[in-house]
Amino acid sequence: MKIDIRHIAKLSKLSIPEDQIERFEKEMQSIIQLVENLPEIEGKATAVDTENTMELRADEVVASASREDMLMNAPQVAAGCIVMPKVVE
Amino acid sequence: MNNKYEIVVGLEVHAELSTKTKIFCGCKNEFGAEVNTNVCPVCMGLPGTLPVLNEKVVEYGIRMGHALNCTINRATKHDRKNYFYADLPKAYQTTQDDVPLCANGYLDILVGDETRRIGITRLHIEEDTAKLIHADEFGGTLIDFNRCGVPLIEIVSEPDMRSAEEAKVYLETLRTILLYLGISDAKMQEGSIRADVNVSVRPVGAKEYGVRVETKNVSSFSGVYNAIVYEANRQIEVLENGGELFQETRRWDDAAGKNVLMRSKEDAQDYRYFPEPDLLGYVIPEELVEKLKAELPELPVQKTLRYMNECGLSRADAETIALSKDKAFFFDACMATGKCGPKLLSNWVLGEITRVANERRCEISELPLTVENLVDMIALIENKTISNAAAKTVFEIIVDKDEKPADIVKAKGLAQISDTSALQTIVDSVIAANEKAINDYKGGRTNVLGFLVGQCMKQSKGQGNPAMFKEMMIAAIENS
Repeated sequence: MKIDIRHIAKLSKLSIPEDQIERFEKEMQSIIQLVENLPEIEGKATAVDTENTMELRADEVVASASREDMLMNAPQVAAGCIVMPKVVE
Repeated sequence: MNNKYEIVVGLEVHAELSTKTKIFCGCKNEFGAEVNTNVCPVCMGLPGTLPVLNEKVVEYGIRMGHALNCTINRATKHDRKNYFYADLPKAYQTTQDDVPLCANGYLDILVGDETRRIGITRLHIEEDTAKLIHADEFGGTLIDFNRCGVPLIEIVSEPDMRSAEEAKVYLETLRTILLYLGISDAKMQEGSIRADVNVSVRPVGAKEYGVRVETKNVSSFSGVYNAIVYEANRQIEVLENGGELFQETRRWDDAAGKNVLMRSKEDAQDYRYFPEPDLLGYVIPEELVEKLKAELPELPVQKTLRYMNECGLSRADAETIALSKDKAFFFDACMATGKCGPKLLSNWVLGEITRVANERRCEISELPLTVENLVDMIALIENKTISNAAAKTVFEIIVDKDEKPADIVKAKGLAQISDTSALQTIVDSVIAANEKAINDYKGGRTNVLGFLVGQCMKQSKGQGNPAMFKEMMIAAIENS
């Protein structure tokens, strides 16, 4: 299996120097080999397990957390919001 | 538009559901709240939290699935869609991938004089993202998490639409259904419905689809129309100049009326979907699925057809009433009394009643006007007890007060005079007072007749029967 390090680096927004690409290719190759050796999952992996299901929640309001608490860990706060570097996608 | 090409359109529509709470936590789901006040560790994606699915979201999704003639997948599950962007604090969206709640449906829409069947590929439930506020004065982007975790349904259509007009009608029909079902506010200006538009073009008669381009960020009906026309013209121009089209994603700029390249296929996101490990699958009881199906109301397209075929309304009137839940419910309630006919009723609903509701910026159902008083008034017009002019006087009263139209007519002396001798006296006096007009009429200027009948109506204080006045006036002039 060929691993395209440049593509993966782009998707993960990482800058990888050209002279490192070969090394990463080799290392990721060995990681994949490791995973490939895992036993195959029996049956269809995406099928819904109807034996083991979850309970749903009633549509009832629960008090929200305080804004002060929720923003406490943010590196920068302004006008009641978390501030992050400017992005436009 | 170049007629050598056919346009092929498919829509992905996101609609916010109007549940009380968010999809995976008990925070309030409301538009316009103070920033970051409807938030908790779950919807802000803090480590160690676990989502719990809101049952109403599933129920609302199934309602819409039934309205779109879908198969309901009773055993379903959720998946993670991974992407790295600041509007998503978990760095993944909890959505549904390979087992959507509903699939394989269709929606019939009315375009021109045709009924067009648009295939529905799937409908799934997922969470909305946080709102990014781009504010230069703070030198960065602000994040408001109130919208993060608001429940959404995504409705994906087949590439079955063949014009911008069809896509617009499809979206309008979807919006009306959401309102009929009471599952979404469906306000495009508040962003509660948003569409991604897939457009391709192909030579007329071709079987193969052309290269598909997705336009994101379309949030108005006119925007959908304009975005499709713009993109189709762009593609045709490229092909006509011997160029090649590429599968890509473009962003619609409504203000500029054009789209710009967002990313090409090579840069396509790799979402790495996998089953959501924080949620188990679930099985929806068959009784619930059946109950929700039985509760499905008559939908707008069926209403339009019924108003045309059974009530004899024009296509335009039928559609205007059916595309508004408010107008349609009022119209149907009036018809259900069996006291008046549909024609005059539709004139009043679309005319005076809508005018007053618009002036007061409210729904018809919020006016003090009652169904009983309106149909009684219309019945009085239909049996010729009152004229249209007198009916306006009655309407001005019943629109605000619960008074019986018959009592108003009696108290104000509004009953139409159809007694020939009384009317003749008025006609004679109008003729005596308008010698010049009579001579004009005799000289061939027959359009003064309207003026003369108007004078008769004025003298009778609106109580005369205008058709009788007209007839008697012509006879009197010709015999003089």
